Amino acid sequence: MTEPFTIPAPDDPQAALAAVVALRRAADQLEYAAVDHAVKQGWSWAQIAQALGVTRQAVHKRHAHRFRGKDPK
Amino acid sequence: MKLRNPIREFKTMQALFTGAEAHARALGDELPGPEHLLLAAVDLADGSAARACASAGLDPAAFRAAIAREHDAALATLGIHAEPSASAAIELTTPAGMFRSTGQAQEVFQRAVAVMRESGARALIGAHVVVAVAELEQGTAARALDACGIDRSHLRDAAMAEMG
Repeated sequence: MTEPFTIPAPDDPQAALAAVVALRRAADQLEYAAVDHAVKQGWSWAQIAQALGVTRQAVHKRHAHRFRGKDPK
Repeated sequence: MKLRNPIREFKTMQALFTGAEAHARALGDELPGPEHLLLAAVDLADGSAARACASAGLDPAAFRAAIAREHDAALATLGIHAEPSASAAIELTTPAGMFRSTGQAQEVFQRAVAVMRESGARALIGAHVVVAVAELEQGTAARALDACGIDRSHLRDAAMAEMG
């Protein structure tokens, strides 16, 4: 079994920190896409929040404005 | 932060942050950072940022492409190779009247206002923003400028020259 990803050498903080930024962006993009699909499939905010491991308020604050007028429960 | 003409400054700020947000979304970022502020400054009607970039040899389209390449290259150091579709634009609507941005973008904006005041200018222009972004030594904007072969101090000088 291979490692899921490699950690940049700690002696190159610039590369390691840039990787952190890129990973956060990728995670954000994945979260947006996944929440979009979940909402389209009828998931509630409570279910999405539970799956993401955050509060319903947190997920609502971050994503609800994108679904005005077609708000999930 | 005291502004000389609050209404005019608000309009410039609105154009800057609305533009930065559009650039952020197009590049797949949730919130605008300094790199998006630079792109938005180039779009400002006063033209000073566009002239400063041209004078320093920075092509905004090449800068935009370099931002995406830098992120892809950084992910590649983790062994993650993003599909082009993974960088798709983030679709979101922002509550009206709100300027959302990263803390670093807000610091860059505050620095731009400070540059304006230090220069004795009466209004905020794109060149002030370029100075503030060019002064950053780390982060995506600095990396993308470096990747474009731009000497950041040269870009700063070019922006200072636009301030008359």
